Amino acid sequence: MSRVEDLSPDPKSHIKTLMKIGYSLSSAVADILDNSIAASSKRIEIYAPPGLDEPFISILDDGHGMSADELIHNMRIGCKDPSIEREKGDLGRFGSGMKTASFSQARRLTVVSKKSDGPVVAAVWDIDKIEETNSWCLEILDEHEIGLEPAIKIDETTNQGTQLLLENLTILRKGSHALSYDAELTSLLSDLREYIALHFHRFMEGKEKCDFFLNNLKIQPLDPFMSKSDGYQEGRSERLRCKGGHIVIKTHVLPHFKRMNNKDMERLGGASGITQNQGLYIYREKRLINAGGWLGLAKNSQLAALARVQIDVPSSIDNEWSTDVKKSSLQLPGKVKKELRKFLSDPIKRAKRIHSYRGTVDTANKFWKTCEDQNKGTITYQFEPKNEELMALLKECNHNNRLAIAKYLISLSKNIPLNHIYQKMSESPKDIDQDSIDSNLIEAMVAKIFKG
Amino acid sequence: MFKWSVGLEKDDIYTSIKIAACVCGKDGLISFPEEEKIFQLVSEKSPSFTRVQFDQVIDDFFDSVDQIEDYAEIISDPSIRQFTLQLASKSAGADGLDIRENIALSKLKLLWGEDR
Repeated sequence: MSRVEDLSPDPKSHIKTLMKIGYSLSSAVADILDNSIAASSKRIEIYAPPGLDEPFISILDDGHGMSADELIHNMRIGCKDPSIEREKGDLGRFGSGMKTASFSQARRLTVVSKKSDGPVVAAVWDIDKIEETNSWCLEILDEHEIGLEPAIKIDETTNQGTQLLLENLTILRKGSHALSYDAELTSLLSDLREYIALHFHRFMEGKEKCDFFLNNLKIQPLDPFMSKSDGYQEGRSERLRCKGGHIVIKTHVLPHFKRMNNKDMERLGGASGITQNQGLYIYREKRLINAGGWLGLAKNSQLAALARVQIDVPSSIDNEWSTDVKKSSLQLPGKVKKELRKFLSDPIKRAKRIHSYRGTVDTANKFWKTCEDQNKGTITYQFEPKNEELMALLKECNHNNRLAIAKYLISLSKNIPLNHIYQKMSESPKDIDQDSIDSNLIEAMVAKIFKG
Repeated sequence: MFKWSVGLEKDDIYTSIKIAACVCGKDGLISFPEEEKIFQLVSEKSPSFTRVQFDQVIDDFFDSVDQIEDYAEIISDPSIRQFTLQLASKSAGADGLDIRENIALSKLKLLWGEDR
């Protein structure tokens, strides 16, 4: 007869697995912020002071807080069944995010919380203790112990809120050749600021907005569609009814690089970042999950650099979208892919049009000829042999000179620095200024050579 | 008994909508034009039918595991079947009749012996 063995994971080994789930500091903090948003916070402060021997990261919100029972329940890994549908606005998914995100960055997680009508409660997951005792031993702090920790900002005078304290940071321990804590932390925090600005930008505006602060500086939202800039175009949109709500699809075309504000452009990663991040922007309950890329539905191209498709998805269809624990990626269901294909051509076409409007001379002009071979699938750029000025010039030359000029023009065509142009057009199109070619200098040079 | 509209009970309307939703949302999504078409056609037939009721029926549809066969079984009156078939075909065609929707529509006709 068969029997059953209890093979619960060994805590000491299991915690090591959970620490390596693959979060970056940015995605880990974002996962923690999801809980603050779900708790209806209006102000979230992330604080990581520099210059400490033992740096820490604090995340403090003014959300509705937790009672002692709720805190203990929420400290359990996998405290919620992922198959249970989340309420609208709940950004949680597996009931593990806050813990796994914290363990991936720090060996000690303290959570302090207070409801408006309740006492201050606190609990600690300390990986050293879990390993030492080989058990899931959650430490519950008493009032006196809470008061002893200077980094804890929640006390009896606080109306409501929750604070997470990440200590014993593992993210900063990368071997003996690592940068100093401060330099490393500063760099990570700079990335974090931009990540939050982009991924939570829709929570930072509007009536129900929440203010985010990083080391006392307010984070400004980063709108990936530049929808308030001159030259921005909004395109087709569609609402699709699905289980639990609507999937809303909107198409956007960014302004041409030349019309972009330098600061906005830089925040979006410069021209190369903007080109690279073309594609789908998928929001789950207003929180950005996927920032760019066509997820196999189209190919990245220079001409579609300005095309963006915004997709709003309710959390009720999480199972079909296969969000992962980190909520940093998802899979498009086949049926959604089919609907999306209808929309992709619109922003891509319009983004291409923006380039061609501005660059009629790019396609063909009286000096250059573009020869597309449909059969071979090749494009060749060469000088326009029927150019009137060229014809007039050649007429004045003798036969040998004509051949020499023609050879030179062929070489000129063959040696267009295409790669350089492509690179510069991608990285810094604003720097290219063909209108400033100094004709005086060239004329002076020719005069000097042919003097006498 | 109270009639919602001539010849149609409230439950009939609800079932007809769910059948149309089955045809339009064969792949789990109902497009906005399809949704609007269903509402428009039902409102024409039953002017007292509200948007709130409509949303509730659609939510029930998505929450249910019932298939088109289960809904089809409920309707036996030939005139209601006729209305339901028209509702399903017109709404599914609101944004172009997809091949899968077409299969669902054919299945419905087959179930009701209307496949001639």
